[in-house]
Amino acid sequence: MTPKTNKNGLTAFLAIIRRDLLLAYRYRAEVINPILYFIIIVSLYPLAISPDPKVLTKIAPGIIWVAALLASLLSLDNLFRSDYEDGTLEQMLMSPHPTGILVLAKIVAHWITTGLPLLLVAPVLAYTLHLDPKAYSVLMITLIIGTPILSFVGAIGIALTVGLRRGGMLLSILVLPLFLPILVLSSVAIQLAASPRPAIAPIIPGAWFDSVVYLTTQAPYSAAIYTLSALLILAITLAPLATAAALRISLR
Amino acid sequence: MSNNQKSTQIILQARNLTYERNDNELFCNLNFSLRAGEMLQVKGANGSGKTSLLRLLCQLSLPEEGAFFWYGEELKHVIHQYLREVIYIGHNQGVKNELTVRENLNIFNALSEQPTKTPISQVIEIFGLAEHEDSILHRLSAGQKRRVALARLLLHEKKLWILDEPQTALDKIGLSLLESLYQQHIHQGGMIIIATHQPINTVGIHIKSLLIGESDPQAAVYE
Amino acid sequence: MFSSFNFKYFIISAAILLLLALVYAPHSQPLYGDPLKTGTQTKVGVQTEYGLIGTDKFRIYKSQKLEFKYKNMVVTEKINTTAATTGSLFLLTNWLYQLFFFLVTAIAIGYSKPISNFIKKTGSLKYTYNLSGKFIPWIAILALLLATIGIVDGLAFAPTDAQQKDSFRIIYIHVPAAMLCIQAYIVMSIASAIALIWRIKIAEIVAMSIAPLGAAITAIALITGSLWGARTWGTWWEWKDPRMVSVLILFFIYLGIMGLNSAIEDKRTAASATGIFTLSAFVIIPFIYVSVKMFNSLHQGSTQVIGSSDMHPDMARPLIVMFFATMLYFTFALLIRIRGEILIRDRKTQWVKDIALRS
Repeated sequence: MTPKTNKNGLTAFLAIIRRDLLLAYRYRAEVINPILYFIIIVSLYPLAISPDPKVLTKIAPGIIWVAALLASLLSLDNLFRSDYEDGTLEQMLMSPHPTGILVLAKIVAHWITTGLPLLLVAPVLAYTLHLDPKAYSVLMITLIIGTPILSFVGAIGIALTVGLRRGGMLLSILVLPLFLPILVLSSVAIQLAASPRPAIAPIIPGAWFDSVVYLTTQAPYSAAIYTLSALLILAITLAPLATAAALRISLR
Repeated sequence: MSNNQKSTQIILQARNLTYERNDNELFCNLNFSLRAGEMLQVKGANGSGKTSLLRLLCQLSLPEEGAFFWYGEELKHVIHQYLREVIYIGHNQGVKNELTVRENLNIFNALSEQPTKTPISQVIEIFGLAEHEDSILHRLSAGQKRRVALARLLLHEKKLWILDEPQTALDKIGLSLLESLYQQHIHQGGMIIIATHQPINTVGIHIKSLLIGESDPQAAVYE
Repeated sequence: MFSSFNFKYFIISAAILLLLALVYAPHSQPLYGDPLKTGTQTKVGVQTEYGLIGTDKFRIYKSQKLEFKYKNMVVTEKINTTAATTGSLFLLTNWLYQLFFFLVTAIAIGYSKPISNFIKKTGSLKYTYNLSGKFIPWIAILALLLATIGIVDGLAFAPTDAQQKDSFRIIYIHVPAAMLCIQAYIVMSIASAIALIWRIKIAEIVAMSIAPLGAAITAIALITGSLWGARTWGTWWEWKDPRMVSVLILFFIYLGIMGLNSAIEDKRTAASATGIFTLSAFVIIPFIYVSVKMFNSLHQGSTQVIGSSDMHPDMARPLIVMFFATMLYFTFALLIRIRGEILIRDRKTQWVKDIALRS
């Protein structure tokens, strides 16, 4: 009854990534939009607050991360919308391959086209914001770990709102509270890298959280980076499942 | 009617299907069954629930009550095997307008688990798309886009075809091509479920029909 | 009884919950303990004869001896472990309680098939409507009674705090509201999970009804918290305080859930979509607890939230009463919403039409 299969999930995964990258390449003028948005938002702050380098150095991590957040939010819409409108999403749900794998492929392709360009532009913008030179490596680390989390968590939000008429505003409300821990952790890490504070001994030895803090206070920002990595792994494993379930519901 | 080719085993069966949408009950206690080599035409007015029934068959929506049975087993237990043998071409055709004909077919090939029944070049020839092979679908007419969508039917060996108004935008040649496809598929022992209210001209195939809607949601004429 | 028990489910869920218990157990804190004696170690500092020495000023040695500088001397003190032992005994019973709770959950998961059959039978909307109708008056009366006792006791009879004078009394509303907003989210997640897995209508209705109430109680917690902060810390809003900010995020999540629910027309699809979002956003609950530890170490020198677990019993008693009072009031409001929603959903059935004709 069941025909012989000669393709597995990996082939489908790579085929979807290839397809999405092909689509992005074919409309490569649109890839530049999130980057432009990123640059514009970053340039709003010095104009609005103060161009004084001393002030900018302190708030540079926050500016870059808020801009990355908003650019990511804006670019989420084209993750599923075109597929939803021409029926390709239904076909993906109907394929015998696990939907989670196909969704994972789409999110990875989306990050390559929207998150990766941000990584390339961020150091330049950090330089214009007079970010402390010590903090550049931590900035890149938090961006490399954090922007995929934004793509994964945002995918859940866009999967829920893709079928709604005016889902754009609702998407922001749903997804931004989930983004906030990432924002706070990343900013704090970069600020601490810029101006480190002395390590502290654990308060009550025994609770294992304190041991983690104690071990990681060799470099004070590394606790935040470990937490970010844990969130990334949580997102990679669980977000595709939640997104697949949300897509099925949106397509009812 | 090729009786000797028809197997007596019921392959697909629907029992007690009830579906409501936005608090409107579209149909209630619907029953039908399908054997190999049979074709089912779902008829009904616009908005009567034809598309909803087809989507239920694809497991894209869930019924309020009732279940489907595939080779006698409840569908949710054998969903994997079922999806391998079903192809669905719905209202929105499921092809990417920004890609070329060949790229679209390549992707469908990669997404399916089976090897191709017919090579892609041959499929393109059969559907008369040879000179538009490398054109982006945006630039083609609606009829040509529909042909690309229907080309999937020949790509892989699938038992059950679920088609929602497949003949829209097709010209006479396209229609006759489609009908010859139906014929070929049925004679090979496949099953087709079509939602359309236009008559289907096929030779030698008995078409069951299911009427949904009208005044009473339970009225379903079945012959 | 044992034939319908799914052993595989039990083992897997017990393993996961045991892991969770190991993570959360050290986090449990006793509600109140012995009053401060010299040498007693609390989360804020050590009570010595030189006063309360803050935690960032001393070193701890393995022998529970500590050393700190006072004026120009180096003082070595022995820590009184009695209070610590009482505290740790409390912690141990807390942990055992958690383990017990998780074990019961694992057993319930093992019995999930019979339980879901039972829920399907008794989860009919009419049954729930009638059953809750019997309980509502009693819940309301009990809530009113406990609230009166708690508030009068808290405002009039609890002793005045040494540092905060009378302004601490807002904790009798703030703490129950804060605990309840988290508990409400957990109950909403459980109801959403049941609704997603078994598609049971009453679970969908419960999940949908908790959202606005949870948002309201989170708002109360935030407002009372900021009022309290205005008095004790001097600012109406302290962005550095991780717990405050995390509860604000929780408030936004509640609002997002309400928004998503109203944006989708079909009620069953709306309930499923909201369920997925509720479960995805569940990570905020552990984040509220983790962020306090995480950010106090990252932001050294930030003000400590009420970390001290040593509260006078006369102060704690009205708190427990108020906690039950707010929980009962929340249940009362929730049941009223659920009954209303049941009537709307089943408006085409005969029993609802009978009720409408009767009134």
